[in-house]
Amino acid sequence: MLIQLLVSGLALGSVYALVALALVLIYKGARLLNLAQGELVTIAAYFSLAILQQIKLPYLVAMIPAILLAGVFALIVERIVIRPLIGSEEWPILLATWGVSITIRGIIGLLWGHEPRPLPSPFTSQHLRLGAYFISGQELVIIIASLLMLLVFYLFFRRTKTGLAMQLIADNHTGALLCGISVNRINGITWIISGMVAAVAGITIGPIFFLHVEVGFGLLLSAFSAAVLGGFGSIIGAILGGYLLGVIQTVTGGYMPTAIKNSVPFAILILVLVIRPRGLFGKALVEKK
Amino acid sequence: MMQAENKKLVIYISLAILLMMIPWFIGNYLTYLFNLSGIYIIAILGLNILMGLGGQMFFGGVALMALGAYGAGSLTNLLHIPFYISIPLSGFVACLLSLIITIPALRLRGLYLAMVSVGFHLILEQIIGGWESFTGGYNGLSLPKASLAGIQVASDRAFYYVVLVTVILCLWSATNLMKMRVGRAIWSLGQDPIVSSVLGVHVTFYKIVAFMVCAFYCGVSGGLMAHYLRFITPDHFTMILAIMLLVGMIIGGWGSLKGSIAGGFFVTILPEAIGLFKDYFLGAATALYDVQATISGIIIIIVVIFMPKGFAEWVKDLIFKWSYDQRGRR
Amino acid sequence: MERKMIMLKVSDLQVYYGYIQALFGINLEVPKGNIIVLLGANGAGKSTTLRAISGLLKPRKGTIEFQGQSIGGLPPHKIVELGIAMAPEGRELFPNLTVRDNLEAGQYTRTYKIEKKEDWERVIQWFPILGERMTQLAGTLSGGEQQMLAISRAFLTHPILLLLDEPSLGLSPLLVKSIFQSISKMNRETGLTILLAEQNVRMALSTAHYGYVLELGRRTLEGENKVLLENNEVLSSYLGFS
Repeated sequence: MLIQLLVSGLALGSVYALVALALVLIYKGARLLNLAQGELVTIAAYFSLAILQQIKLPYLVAMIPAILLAGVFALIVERIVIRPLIGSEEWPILLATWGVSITIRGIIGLLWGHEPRPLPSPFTSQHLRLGAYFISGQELVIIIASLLMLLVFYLFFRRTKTGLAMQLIADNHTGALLCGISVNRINGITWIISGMVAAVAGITIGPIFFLHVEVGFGLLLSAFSAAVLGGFGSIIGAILGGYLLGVIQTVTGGYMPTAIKNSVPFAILILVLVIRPRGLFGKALVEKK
Repeated sequence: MMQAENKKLVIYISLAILLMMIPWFIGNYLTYLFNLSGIYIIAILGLNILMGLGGQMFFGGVALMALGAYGAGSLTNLLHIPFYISIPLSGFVACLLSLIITIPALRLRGLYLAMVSVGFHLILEQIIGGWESFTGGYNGLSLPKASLAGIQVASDRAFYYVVLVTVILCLWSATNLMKMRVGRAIWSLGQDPIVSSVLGVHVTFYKIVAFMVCAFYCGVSGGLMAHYLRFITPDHFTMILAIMLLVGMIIGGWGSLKGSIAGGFFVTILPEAIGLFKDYFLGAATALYDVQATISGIIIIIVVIFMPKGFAEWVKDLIFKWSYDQRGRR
Repeated sequence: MERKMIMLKVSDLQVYYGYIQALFGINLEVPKGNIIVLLGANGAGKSTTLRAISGLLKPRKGTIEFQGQSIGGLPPHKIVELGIAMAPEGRELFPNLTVRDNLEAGQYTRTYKIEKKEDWERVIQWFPILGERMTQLAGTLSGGEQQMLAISRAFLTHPILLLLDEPSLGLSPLLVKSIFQSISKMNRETGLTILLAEQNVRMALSTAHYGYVLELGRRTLEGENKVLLENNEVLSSYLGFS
């Protein structure tokens, strides 16, 4: 039983890790919290649903256009909503992303309705046998796909010029400008990556957790909690925090009622903020303006 | 001097009489809209104090309203407390319960607080929805008709006066609060907490005070709503309402107490305006909700990009630019 | 002063911070190959002028011409591309990255390997201490080392015009002397045109060829270094020290 819980926990944790990564990337690049991050996950899942149903591609193949679409969609959001607000105070940008979140939810509701929909995948009915235990095929897909995505991201971040630019911008915005880096362009790319990372999360977990209009916000809260747990602002923290939170939530959920299980991310968020605000791997939080 | 004083008094009295006569001139439905606007005005008032003036990024206003509403409902249903006591009490209930969020949130800056407050809303929604025995869950909670000394005050018209009095009291108390030392402290908090603490303002204390003031007004707003609608469900306290309150806040002017009035009306009018086109929406019953969501989202984006300082300021800027161009200067 | 090509020409530059006007019509010329200094007390507008030239600030009115091209209002990265680099007030280093990373960041826009190598070697030669601290995090360097790093990073973008904002700020007199010697060297060895903003009158005028004095956003005095130095009494009344 515990093995199965652990695997499920890692699967959930993979999703959290990806979404937390997407969240922290945008934060590091542009100093803003993307409240629409959850919706970027759900819309990607709905994209793949549409592709699966309309074009009838197999699940794994349909992933690719869906991920690309999600990246483009994220870029569109950045151009239309975020660009005009560069240089504003904190609250207009926060509210704007919240507005984006609500707008996407409304559009999803209009296009697909409020009924929870499953994302059809051939892996949900397959299992891997490990001794006496059966491990869900879809969960393995989640874990493997996320690890792949994280690897790709790592290579990009560490080994490409654009990745370097992202690191520089995150460390000192003005300094990056003075080195000839076009911050606007790079931030656009950051959003695209964010969208694609979120897409992988959404498409892989869709078959298990069903697609529903309201899922996004809970996911945002969980991803944020994961990032805080790992140390908000740290990429490694976000990823590790994600896996950790996923495991904690699933393992406790195995022994407690569902209502409590759903509150675990929030509870952990409060706990971390009260006891150790810098999280496990982050630096001390400075009350900066 | 005497002339000016008299003039002011005359204006106030005529305004008061005008306000009191309104329900007799407009139908029940419009009175209902007025009442709802009044309820929202109070909530926006609280949010203006905490967010607009105090500078705290707190998105849990609607959650506080829910606390007030369910608090009032419980007080009335279980303890048979009349509405005119349960409404202010619900304000205090919200105040106290908000401390659960306030204390951990004290050292959070900007986006952490925003996220936690959003989480607060989500979790509260789950708790209310799940705790059926106490809150009636998604089936809702019913309240008896409000009565004052034996006379029923349940009709739209009758309740209008309840709302009117409450709104006036809240506006009056808020304005006075801002003039007092407390108000100034909260304002300086919003300007620059670091400078404030250097100047001797006890930042943590006044943060708590600002939260509690906001919670009080939002709680009263929720209690008022509970007694007016006499039936509340978690669907009355959605994220969309939260966004709408914020849009109303921005349009009326971020931090403007008087602007809360415009904001409250805006929150009521917009869904009505959308509802006018109801017949064009085919399909699911949820379509209206989704259209409202989409339009609210788009509106807040537009408002935040183009009129961050409020509708009045935006119009002023336009006029200024127009007259500047007219004079042919470059 | 011999007739040289004017590399940078600022005309009637007006810059606002929000509603507050900071520059009220600045005029200056930077001839190629010279070191020009902007003098003035705190708040006189020296940094503002440099930031406007580098693209961090947008001019409200007036023009900035670089090699005949109007650059006012261009984004900072474009201006770096055109050949203007700045070591700003506050240095703006990458604190969590190493000295080497910071220097390499300066070469982000550069592609020619030979040129990059030559620039790199020059920088190490002028500031050997950076060579010793390659793996240290920039945030942990001393003030003087950070300043050298900032100047080096700017130089590594291979500029034609280098802007230095208060290079002596917060440094001991010995370090200040050393930095200005390096600035002189840079100009002599590579012909790099330098525009610097300084409060330290003596040091600046002993290094620069020509100076402009700014006061409250306006230019009040200008002249060759010797002339201004002789004008010390007038200067000290402007700049507030003897």
